[in-house]
Amino acid sequence: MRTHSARRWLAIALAHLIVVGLGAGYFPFHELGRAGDLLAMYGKLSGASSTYGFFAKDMISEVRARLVFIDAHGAQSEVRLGSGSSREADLRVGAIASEFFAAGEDDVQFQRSLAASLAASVFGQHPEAVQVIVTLEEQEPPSMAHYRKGERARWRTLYEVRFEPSTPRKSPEIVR
Amino acid sequence: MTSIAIASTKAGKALFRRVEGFFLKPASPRPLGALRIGVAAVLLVQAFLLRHDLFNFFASDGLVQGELAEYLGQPGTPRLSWLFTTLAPYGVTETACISWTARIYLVALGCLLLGLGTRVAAVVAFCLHWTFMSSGYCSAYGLERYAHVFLFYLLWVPSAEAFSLDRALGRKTGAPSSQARLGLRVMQLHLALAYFAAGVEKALNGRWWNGEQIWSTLSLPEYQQLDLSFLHGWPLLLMAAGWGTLIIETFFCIFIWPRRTRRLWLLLTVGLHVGIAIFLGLHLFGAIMCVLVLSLFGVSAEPKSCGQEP
Repeated sequence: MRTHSARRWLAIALAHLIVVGLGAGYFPFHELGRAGDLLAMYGKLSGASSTYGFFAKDMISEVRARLVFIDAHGAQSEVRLGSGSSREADLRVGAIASEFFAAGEDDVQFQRSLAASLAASVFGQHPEAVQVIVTLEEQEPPSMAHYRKGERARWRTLYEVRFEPSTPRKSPEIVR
Repeated sequence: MTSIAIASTKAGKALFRRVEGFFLKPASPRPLGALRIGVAAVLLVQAFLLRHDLFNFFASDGLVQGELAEYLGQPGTPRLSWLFTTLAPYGVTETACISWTARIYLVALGCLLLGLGTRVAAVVAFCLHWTFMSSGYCSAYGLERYAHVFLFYLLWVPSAEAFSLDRALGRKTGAPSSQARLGLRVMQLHLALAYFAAGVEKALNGRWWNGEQIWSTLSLPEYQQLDLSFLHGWPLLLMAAGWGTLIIETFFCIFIWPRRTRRLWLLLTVGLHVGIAIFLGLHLFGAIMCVLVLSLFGVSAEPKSCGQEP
């Protein structure tokens, strides 16, 4: 690189690293108006506005979605979300289940939209299903002290909803 | 001019030269070649592991359907649905669209791995990885974020200059360059910033200091790989693991630079990620983090010698 060109690239690189630092610190780019919107877009494109708080927040509970379909004879079958063929696929399914309460436990309409989406995928895979039950369960492991006293983690039902094929199978409406 | 002004001008020039040397002194492209191969290899393994779930995660009738997937994604980022909507008038089905996009992505990753047509392969791999990540945004996790960031860097840095077919075919010289040094420094600083942010965020949560966060995480069914419930009787061990994580991540940005501490910190950081991979089952996340740390800080960038400052 010639000196001028190298210095220009160095200035661009330093500006990029400033965006990285701001992104890591959760800087609200959008509050800067149009320039902030452009920076936010650049941040998404380059990944410079990423945050890195993996496992930083409390990991006190896990949410899972259980899906059961019922056929015309009344037989119930539990359906696994995803193929279950790899740990990588399971992690991604877990990430979807965690979306249920990402916007707060009271957002029932959004939870219904997501549950409807999962149910629709089951109806798609199992044409014999006449009803799909989506159950959301949560498990909260006890603290070390409580565990020593004999307390154990249990799944508790947070939300359950049934869907039938008469439910429109098109994409669920966004109601949040 | 006073003697103070002269001294400060000299000091300023010396600092400027040091900064310029840090960012622009010609460097070997080997770390960049190692990074290219590592990132491409991890993403190829990921693609192989997700091959049965392509439509579950990315089709409009998959687990998260249609509008909901759009809603849960990042606004303004590329989606498979855009491609499908564009091609639908020509009789291309969504299934064909997703299948062929995945195939092109695999070819691009293969070329990136081999270093064949590297720049074009990096552009295609970056664009399609971003498209898949955005289309299945609510099922993506840390691995995708790091892959996206470093695929973006591979668009710019001369990674084809080392360990590549482009080099073997004589299209690249493999000569040390300022571009290689600048690219390496930016990625090193980005990674150091990421560790620092991760360490500080964890340190703000008191549960990381008393071992409860590690206990809870090891107890959650999603991450539980082994029954480690006996650790409830070893709270000091969990506390030490928590403190160890905080120290390794927060002080990575300091101890990874001096030659005397670099090897120790590389070992500790790789150990941390191997531990996360084994005990939490985050295998590919652990793999990509090891690739980043080892290629950027473990492979010598000095033109004609080994074991010097990367």
